[in-house]
Amino acid sequence: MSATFSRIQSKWDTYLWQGFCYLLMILISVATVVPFLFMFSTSLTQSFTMMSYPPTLLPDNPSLNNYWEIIFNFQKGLFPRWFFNTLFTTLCITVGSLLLNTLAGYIFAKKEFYGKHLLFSLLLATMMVPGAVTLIPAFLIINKLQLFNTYWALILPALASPFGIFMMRQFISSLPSELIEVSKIDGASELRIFWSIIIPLSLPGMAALGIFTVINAWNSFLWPLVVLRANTMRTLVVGLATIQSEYHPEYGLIMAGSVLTVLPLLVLYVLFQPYFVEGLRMGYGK
Amino acid sequence: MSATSTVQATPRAIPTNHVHRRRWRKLRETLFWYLLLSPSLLIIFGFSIVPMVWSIYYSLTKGGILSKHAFVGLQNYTKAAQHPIFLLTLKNTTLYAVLTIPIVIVLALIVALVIIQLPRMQGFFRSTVYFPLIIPIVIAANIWAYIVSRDFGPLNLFLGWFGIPRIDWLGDPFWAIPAIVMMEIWRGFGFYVIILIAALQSIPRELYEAARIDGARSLRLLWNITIPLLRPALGFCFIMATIFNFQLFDPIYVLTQGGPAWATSTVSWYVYQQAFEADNLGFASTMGVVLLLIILVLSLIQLRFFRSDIEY
Repeated sequence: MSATFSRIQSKWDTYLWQGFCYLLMILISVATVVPFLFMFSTSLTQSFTMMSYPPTLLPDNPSLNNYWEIIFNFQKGLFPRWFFNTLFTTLCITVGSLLLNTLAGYIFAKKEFYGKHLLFSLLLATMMVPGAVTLIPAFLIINKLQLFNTYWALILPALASPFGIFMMRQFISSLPSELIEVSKIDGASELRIFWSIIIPLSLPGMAALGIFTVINAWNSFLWPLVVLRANTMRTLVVGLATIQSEYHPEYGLIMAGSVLTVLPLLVLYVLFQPYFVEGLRMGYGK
Repeated sequence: MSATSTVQATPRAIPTNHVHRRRWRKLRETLFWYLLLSPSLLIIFGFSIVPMVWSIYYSLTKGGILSKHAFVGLQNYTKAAQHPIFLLTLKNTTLYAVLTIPIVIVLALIVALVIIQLPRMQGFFRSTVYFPLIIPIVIAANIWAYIVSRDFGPLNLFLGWFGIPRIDWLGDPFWAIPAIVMMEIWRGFGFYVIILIAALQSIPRELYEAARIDGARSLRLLWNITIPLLRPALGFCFIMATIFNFQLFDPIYVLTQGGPAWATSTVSWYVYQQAFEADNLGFASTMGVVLLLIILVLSLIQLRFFRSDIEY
């Protein structure tokens, strides 16, 4: 009798505890996401109302006027140009770096050669070098190569990354080595093995790395700020940061631009959700 | 070893030649793999180690981006040691890190522990807490500027309900750093949540069951099993947080431009300001090198501290 009672009681304790956990998580989720709703709601305000007080999640007369303004009227189509710059460089970086990082990850995962372990540690160590140290000389290198104010200035340094190589090495290490051996016996060349066996098998890992690469390339700030000075060469994020200081537009305009900047990432994030968490785990090496 | 002797070796060669041939093969393969790795290595080292060495050299010179660089020895370093603004940015950077890192990791640990208790919707909550990290910092900072704005901001409105008078968060030298720290916590904690959840899921359940049979209570389990087993993951989190937070730049650029009166400037911001606005390359490089040393020393100390002997 008392045993049954205590079981019921402990069951209720579990429900209560789980209810509490859900409540807590809902509160935390709301707190993390609500600020972005302010971005959305401000973007819908009429241009002439600066800000509403008290803050509301839905403005009184929602309008898409700010979107129209920033896409078609702002500085003779500067915003679409920024969008294109960002899209183009992000695509080049993602495709190029996926290939190079996967190739390097494969070599570090499956091949034996002199100096491999030292080289790999050295690669990982470069992750610790702060941007403040590399910024100025990297800028001068780009200048020397005459790439200042070109897309290459953004693309070239991002074509390989120690993090990407590390992640792909983790992923490819877990693939069976027998497949490679078998195709070697069949007489396939090394590059053929890489292209028609390793790449297809690594696609889940590449998807995970790819989404990180896209987010990083799309969002990077300090480097494009330094190497792309021409107005028409800017990326979205740098453009948005300079709108404020150079053109003094309304807040709603910036927020409309921000929503348009975030939208592609948001779609990607929702679509690639499973790969994303997997990627973080791979990066951590568990 | 001579290549010719290996090439001339017959198939029925004596053992030493066999070894030679294997070595020759490995050497050839090494060259091949280095050839394939060369684009990646060139890019990574070309934009990290080469600039780092270059920066160290620049830190010993004086001059602007386009002017000549005169060698001045350690003069920049002695200047840095007494430079009031650099010392202030160093103090600010440390303050950001000391305020942000413990809060962000403790918060992430609590959230991770709560999420793994849930029977359902774990994936959903994981993606919501990670969500701010996919937003460009510039945009997040713009939103934050609105949230903490003195007259229109929801934060002051919220605090007003408790009778707290309006604070000019970003304009007040005292409150500006806490305002930016709050943003860094809000933006960043999801990253550590994901890492810690992955680590928590790899702890075998049997350990808990065994301990529970021994009569241990929940808090004891947390303290005696979970935390020690999370040590490598927590170490990873602390090192990453140190590397991130000691390089704070983007929010400073967007929110305050280092003001009011340098109150929110970080070392990274001051390096940028000195290099690209004041054209003071030597001194900027010196500060960068000092920052590199600080991050390096802190990472090594943490690696040592979090080294774990526990296998599971």
